[in-house]
Amino acid sequence: MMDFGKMLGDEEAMKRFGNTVVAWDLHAKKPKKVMDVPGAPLEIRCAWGANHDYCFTTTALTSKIWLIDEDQNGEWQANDVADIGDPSKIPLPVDISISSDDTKLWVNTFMDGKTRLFDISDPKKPNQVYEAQIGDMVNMVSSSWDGKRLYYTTSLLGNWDKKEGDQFIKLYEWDGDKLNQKFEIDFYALKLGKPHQMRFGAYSLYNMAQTFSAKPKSEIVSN
Amino acid sequence: MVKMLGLIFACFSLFSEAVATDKFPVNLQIPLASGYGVLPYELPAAGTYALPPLGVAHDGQVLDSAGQRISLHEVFGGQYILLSFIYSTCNDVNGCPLSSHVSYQLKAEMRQNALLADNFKLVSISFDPQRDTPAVMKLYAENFKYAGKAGDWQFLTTDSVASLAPILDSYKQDIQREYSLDGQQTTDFSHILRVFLIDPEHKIRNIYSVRFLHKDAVLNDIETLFMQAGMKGFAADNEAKILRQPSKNGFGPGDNKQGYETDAYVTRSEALNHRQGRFADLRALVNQPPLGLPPIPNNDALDLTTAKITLGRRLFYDRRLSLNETFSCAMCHIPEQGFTSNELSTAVGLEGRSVRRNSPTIYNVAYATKLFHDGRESTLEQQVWGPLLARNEMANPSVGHVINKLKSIPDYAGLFEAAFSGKSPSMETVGAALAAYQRSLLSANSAFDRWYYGKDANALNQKQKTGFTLFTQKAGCATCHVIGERSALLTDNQLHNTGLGYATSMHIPGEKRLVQIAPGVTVEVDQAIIDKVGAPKAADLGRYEITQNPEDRWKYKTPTLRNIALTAPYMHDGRFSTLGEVVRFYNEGGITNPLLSPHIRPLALDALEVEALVAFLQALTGDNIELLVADAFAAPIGDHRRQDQQ
Repeated sequence: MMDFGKMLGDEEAMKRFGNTVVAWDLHAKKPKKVMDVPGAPLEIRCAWGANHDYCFTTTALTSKIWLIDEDQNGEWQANDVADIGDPSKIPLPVDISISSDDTKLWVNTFMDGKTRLFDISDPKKPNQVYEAQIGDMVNMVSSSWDGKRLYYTTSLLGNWDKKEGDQFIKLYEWDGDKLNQKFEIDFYALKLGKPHQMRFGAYSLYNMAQTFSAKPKSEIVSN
Repeated sequence: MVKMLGLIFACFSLFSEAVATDKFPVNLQIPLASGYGVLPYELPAAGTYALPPLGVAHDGQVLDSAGQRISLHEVFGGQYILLSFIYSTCNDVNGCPLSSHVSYQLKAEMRQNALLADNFKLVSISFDPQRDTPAVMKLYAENFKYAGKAGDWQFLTTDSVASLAPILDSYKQDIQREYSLDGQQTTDFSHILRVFLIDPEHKIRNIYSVRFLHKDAVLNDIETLFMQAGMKGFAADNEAKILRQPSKNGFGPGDNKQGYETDAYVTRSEALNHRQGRFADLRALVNQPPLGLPPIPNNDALDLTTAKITLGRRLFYDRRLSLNETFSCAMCHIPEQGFTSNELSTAVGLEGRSVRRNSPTIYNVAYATKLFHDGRESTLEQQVWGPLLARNEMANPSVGHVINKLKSIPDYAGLFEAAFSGKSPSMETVGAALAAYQRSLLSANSAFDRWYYGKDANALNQKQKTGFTLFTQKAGCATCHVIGERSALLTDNQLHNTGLGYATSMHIPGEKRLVQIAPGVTVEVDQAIIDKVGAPKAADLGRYEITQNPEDRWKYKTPTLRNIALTAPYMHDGRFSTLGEVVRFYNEGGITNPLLSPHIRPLALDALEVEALVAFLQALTGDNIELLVADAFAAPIGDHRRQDQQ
């Protein structure tokens, strides 16, 4: 990606941001439906509930939350449902994280370094219930399944990060009312570069049987 | 079916009502993969989609179930293949049992589908050579005999973990043996299920995961491939060979952003569907330039042969000619975007590095006596080394780096020697080849040429004729954009100061800047925010940087106006998106500064006259754009998925 400042000054380049969300037929590798979502949609997160047929995305340039859901006729639609901060200041939402019970959506805004919590119990009407300053800039947020731990990184892209600014990973605990910082890893101080994304894996995801077992194989039973 | 599975899949049972016992209670919590049942959705009709190659199905050394050493490609035997990686002690119902189940169903299908039996083969290969010896694989195979004898299903293994490793690596199979709490190896592997559909050319055409591995999906894909190959029983499907349909603006970029400044804009991107080109006879073009162009300077001495042009074209589109093998010349000189970029004002090089200026077009570059916006280079042969070595463009660290790479790539073997009387790749021959191709990109016989030189009175409409009159008289454009008696280069090959460079150098940015963030949505962004995320803009003093003569500050080369309708955005820094903006800029008299060219003055054109000039400029587009772009589409690009690759 080119230098962010250069890009903001390049009129033609600014027209070339993605402005669609596409529902794909993965077998035919063709689009089923192309929905106009202007303003550079970045991340998509779909609700977990078995009957919750909807997803959220946020548009980085226009700073809005968009809901993508199926209407009564089975047609997928995209509609903007909330503003994030003050869009005219380009807070630039980047990563979002949906809670396992589909009631909360964490939204990070890169430019102002904040994280915001939206109540999405009514997906058509998200409303912000909390915000906190994480750093000069913030990129991704990863949540534990129970929603109590939230990890944050700072780096969006090498060429887009603020030239002066801290680079770190932080862990916060969410107690239901506010975020309490638990630790910070300063990437610059430790000469680790810039942290972009986190992955939380589990060995047991790859195999249904017990992974670490004291019993001989023939007696393994599944619960 | 139950008996068959029960033999092998001892630790798990699939059908609760049949086999539940105390020793093997059934886990009701694991949802069965859809491959065991009915697909919950409809597949697209076979032949209505394409399966582009995803990679190469590499060879490897294996053992068949008789213990014979054989290579994977020999096993493939020129047929369509479904390749699964399994191990016999796998107890994950949605793992190897799933892929074996699907393979079993396909084997059974072969009893009634002769085309399938004759052309398609199943291959299962173990990734546990320690347990899965050929004898074990033979035993494993026995259980599938109920599928019948039609067709072939090979069960393979390897003689050791060491022999298996390169195969796993080339198919990107990452496996880890699992350990018990006390550190003992268990018989389990942790891996992600991938089943490969491979064609007779050893290209991988689909990769199935647990989610959609299903007999119907595989059969659908096989039928699609058979149709594409025109196999007996299916009509030949030429969908993959269709030349890309030209977009409405004539082989332009696939994404038309006209009207983006209004909120009525609707996305109209075109997918690059089955793009395949057609080579043109470029040498004929060189020897007989289209109407409106003079003979190529030094044509005889240059001796442009088809071999040189073809080699030059191969180099021009080869992405391996950059440091990290991602950048070719064509990444900034994009054929369907006027051999420039319509999507960037100033270029972007390797790894997003900033380039100061707009990419000039390659159309008709044969006639340029000075190259680069500041005119610092004198021949095309020498010019190529600029972008090749520039750290912010293709970033090759040295001349030798490029030469040595070319000498080592198999698909260049002998090509330089054949084109240049025995000379191998060198600074000279690389330059000569690339220059030969670039010189062949001649484009003229535009509406203007036919009217002016061809004496076709109706080739231009009235508005365009009015535009021509303004161009040569009141507006005085022809002073620098020269039109000759028998040919027109529409450039004087000189450098002039129009004031744009001065304006950029002297401009003090305001506190805010207008930025368009979505169709019809423009916001004022604090310059301070932009500065936080941007490196300082590089200075640009134009010709002065070359001559060190202060009189030459902010002088830039006059570009040709041929094909100007195709080469937006305009000026040395791409600041104008439309020809209207350009004409209005000159109408205002450029930007006043102490070094402004005497040719630049306010023109006092009214709105209609501006329109007429723009109409005239649009009549300067050559008639062979599709020919040249289709020729470009046919060029290999250094892509491993295509035949033109090692």
